[in-house]
Amino acid sequence: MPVLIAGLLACGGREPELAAGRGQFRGAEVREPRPKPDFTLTATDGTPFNFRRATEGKLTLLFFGYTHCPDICPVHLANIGAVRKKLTPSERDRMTVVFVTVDPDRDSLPVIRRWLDNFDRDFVGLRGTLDQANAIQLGLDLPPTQIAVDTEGTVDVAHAAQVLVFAPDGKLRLVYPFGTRQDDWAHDLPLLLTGRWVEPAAGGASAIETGSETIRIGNLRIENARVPALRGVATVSAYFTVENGAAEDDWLVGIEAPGFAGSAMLHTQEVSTLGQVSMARLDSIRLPAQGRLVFAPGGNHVMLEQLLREPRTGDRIPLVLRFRRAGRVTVPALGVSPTDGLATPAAAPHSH
Amino acid sequence: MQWWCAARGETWTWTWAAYPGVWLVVALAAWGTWRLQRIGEGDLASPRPWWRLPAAWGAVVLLWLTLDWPVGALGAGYLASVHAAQYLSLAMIVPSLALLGVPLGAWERLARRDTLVRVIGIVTQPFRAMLFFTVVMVFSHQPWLVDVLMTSPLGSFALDASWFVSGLVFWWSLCVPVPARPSFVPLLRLSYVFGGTVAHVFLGMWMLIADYPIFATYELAPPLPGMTAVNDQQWAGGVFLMIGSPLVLLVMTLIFFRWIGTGEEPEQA
Repeated sequence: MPVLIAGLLACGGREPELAAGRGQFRGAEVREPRPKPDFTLTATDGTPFNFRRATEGKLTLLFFGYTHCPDICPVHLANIGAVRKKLTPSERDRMTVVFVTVDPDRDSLPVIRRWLDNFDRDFVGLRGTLDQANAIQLGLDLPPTQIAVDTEGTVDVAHAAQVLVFAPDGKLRLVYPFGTRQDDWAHDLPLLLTGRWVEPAAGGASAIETGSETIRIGNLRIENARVPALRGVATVSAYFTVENGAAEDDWLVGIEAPGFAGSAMLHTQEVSTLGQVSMARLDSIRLPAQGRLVFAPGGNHVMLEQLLREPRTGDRIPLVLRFRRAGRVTVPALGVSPTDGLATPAAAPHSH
Repeated sequence: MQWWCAARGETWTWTWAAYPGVWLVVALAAWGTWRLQRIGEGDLASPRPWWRLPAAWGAVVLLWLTLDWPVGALGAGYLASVHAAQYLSLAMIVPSLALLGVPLGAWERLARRDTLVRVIGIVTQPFRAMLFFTVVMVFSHQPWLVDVLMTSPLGSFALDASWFVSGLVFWWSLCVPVPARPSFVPLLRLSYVFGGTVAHVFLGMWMLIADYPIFATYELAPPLPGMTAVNDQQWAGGVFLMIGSPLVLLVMTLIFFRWIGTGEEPEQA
């Protein structure tokens, strides 16, 4: 009997094991967990706040936004705040939510404090310069914030829309794009608070990169990613389809093919009135709300240069796509025969 | 510009917006009402209760207020509570008022069209109508459907139209004398109203007690000051329970007192 009781106690107290690739979470798992950034900004009480030190050992949610934001920032913070209120006091103590303003000109410390108090009085608000905020974001692979003021004085702030989650072990484990719902947080937060992360075995891939040909991040659905398996070429194109199910536009702002190509660029093919075909490089491509964007021969495509190896049929070539709102996602592009699966006609972005 | 109110994902402002599709529908409803009243004018022998004209035009005005800015826009993309009020209006109040507002002469004309009456009789057969009304109500409040439909004017229109059509079918047997249904006695009418609307109570309770927002459309919409997504959802539940249920009770009371007043024997049920 004592053995049985001891066994039951041991089972009851065991932490669930968390590992990338198991699909335990509603958020997007990060393929290569990185350590918490070490930066110091000013907290709303006026004291310096060292992010790494002050949040050590805690589940930490980091979000870059601004208090005048009409949609994404208040929705994210309201949803996190609503779910946090339902956690036990002990769980709440083991969790920190940190908000960094990307609009320091308008967001003074008292303004940030008042605004955060609408969601949760325990949320930490930080303020530095825009350059500081951008440096931190770039270090985390987030696109830097861009602020534009039009002739009427309207300020437009384009900023990353995802919440970064650092597990209590201090590593960036999950990313939650805009569109994450209270139900998602309620599912994931308790798991993150009680679980113990186990590194995947060598060669293991994250949930995002295994299994299905369709990859989702937030409201984006990326499918049919493919690269023609051409021999003896210096460059090759990659194609895929992205569907934006969100009510807002997003932008594809960057692309990489780590381990496969030294350079990856967004290109589009243009045909002049004289019938001459030319390529134009694009810095970003708009994904219309409720729209579909097809990358296909004869239209938008990804140009992969400085190939580190030849693509082969059946290869799974990692394409890292960076979206302004939805964030960063790795998509496995399938190596296909040049005559197979590449006949999809190119289509311009359109809305349903 | 949208032709019908749909979720836009933009911050709410009190800036007026035009919805031409709504105007077209309301104009058609107004034209239809005017035509039916003209038909009724020719029938001087029929009794003309005082409430017939206010009911007919009240339905048109309420239809317009429910679908157009600001109610239509708020309900489509910002507040579940307004969406719930729209449902009550489009599925329960507007169809019943519209049917009650049709002059007797128009119904008598309809009664002369055998094929049409037969089709209407099949569609509005009470058990079938009750089932149809309940199924539309339950399905049209499923999050997976609402969240998809509300993002486009066509989807939002389909939702509004389904509510109105299901309301017409449901209230037909109670408000319209054609086709005659002698077996649809008061006791059956009471059961019909109760059975057809009881799902509202469950829907209202669901919205009232759910821990988290049910509809992504309203949860992820740019927030309105002073209203959280869960509070709004609780208000929506309140609309169903505090407005919808009393409406049903009122209808049942009217049927009951009419039954008592006409002195129909219970065994006729």
